[in-house]
Amino acid sequence: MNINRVFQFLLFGMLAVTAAAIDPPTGQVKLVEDLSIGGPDKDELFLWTGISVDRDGNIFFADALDCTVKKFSPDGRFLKKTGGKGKGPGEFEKTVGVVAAGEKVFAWDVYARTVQVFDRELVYQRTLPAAGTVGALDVLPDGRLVAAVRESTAIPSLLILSPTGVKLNRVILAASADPFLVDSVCLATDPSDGFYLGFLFSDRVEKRNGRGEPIWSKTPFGGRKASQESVAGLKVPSETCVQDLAVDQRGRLYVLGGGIAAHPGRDVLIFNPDGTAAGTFLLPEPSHSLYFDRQNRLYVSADNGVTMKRYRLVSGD
Amino acid sequence: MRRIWRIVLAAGMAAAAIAFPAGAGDHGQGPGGRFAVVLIDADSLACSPCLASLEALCRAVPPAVQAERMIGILTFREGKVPDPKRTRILRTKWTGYSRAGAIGFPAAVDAGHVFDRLNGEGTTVILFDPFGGSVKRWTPPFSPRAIAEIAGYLLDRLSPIMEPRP
Repeated sequence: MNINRVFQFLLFGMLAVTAAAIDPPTGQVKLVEDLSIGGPDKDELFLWTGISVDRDGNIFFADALDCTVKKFSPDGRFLKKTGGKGKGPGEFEKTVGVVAAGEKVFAWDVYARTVQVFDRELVYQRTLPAAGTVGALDVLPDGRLVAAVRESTAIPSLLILSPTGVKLNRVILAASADPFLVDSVCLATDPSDGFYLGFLFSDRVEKRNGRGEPIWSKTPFGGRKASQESVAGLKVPSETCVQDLAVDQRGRLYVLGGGIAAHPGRDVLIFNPDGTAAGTFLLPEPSHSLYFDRQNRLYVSADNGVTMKRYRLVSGD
Repeated sequence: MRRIWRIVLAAGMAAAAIAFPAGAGDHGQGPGGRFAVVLIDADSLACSPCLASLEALCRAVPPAVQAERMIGILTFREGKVPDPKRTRILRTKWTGYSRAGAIGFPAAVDAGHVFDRLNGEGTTVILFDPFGGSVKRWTPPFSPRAIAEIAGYLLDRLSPIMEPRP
């Protein structure tokens, strides 16, 4: 073996080690907890429903029970909260989602047809009209917003908005009038300008480009149908399918399985950007949420939403 | 009937390790003993429409009166075996919910599922007279008249049908 070959081998090894340090591995994955916020005996989080991490690592939560948006430092110290129950500027009836992007923090309510904008210090800035109640929202790499909204029970749609809330594109999400589709969509943007959609009550994950056009679609849990029950003569889903989606910094998609999965709220399937399967892992306890920060650390819920746990993903070999 | 309620309540309080509201401790000592037990399905805490009636009631009863004369019992369907961690989680959730909704009364978790049969219709308000007997029971949605009636009873503004027993 000549010296050049040894050098190449060492260089390749160093690159591989560096890559492993910043990218979640695929295949067998082990979770190493490095942060926990809230808990059953702490009055910090009551039922967090949305999470986002800004460029400095500060962690923002949407908390549905006390109707607030909360900010914690990267090491888990409570810093500030805003909101409170109400219908005025900066208030929420039931906070369900939050996205930190650039200098802004977007938060939305389960009932309001608006998205509220705060700065990173959680000072209220303005309210964006949303043409419907917002089921999910995320920010594309160029600052545009993509939102799944329910304009009416029969028109679930996707809106592509400018950073100031101007409607740029509108895509009807479901061909059939399925009243349960839109409140139940999760969204995760892709670093290459596309985004993914997951359906809470349908075993379906879609990849779309930045204009909202379909690229591929999958049934990650074998196409199993969610069971239904009859409530007041109306068939409603009684089981969840895709609980949440997250995308890591390399564009790999992580799908959290709901009630139809073998381990509800714990099974995570990993897909490459082209839709090919890349691995699976199991969360230690059921979560309703998956989120990756810029350092590819994974954030999930625990204890029925009163705890957030952060993990590093390492190879399980 | 009163006897049954007393037994059920006593069993429930023992199971949940909670105390009666301060004003309810002197059974038979006059109108200070009137109180309300509010059974709340813990799963409904995140559902605003489910608890809209309760929040409307709480807006009609001053927080100090709520604290003195109302007590909540959080019930849940899953996990029939007592689970201390679940009980702690539900207490924390109640703290968050009550802070946002300006709820002024405390609540305990029905860890022993003693009250399961009493709240089959979701949130239930049961008024008790000073002698420990139940006066009336409501399930949501509460009409404005029902809210006025419950609030009036707790505020000592009694309607003739709700006069405490001698």
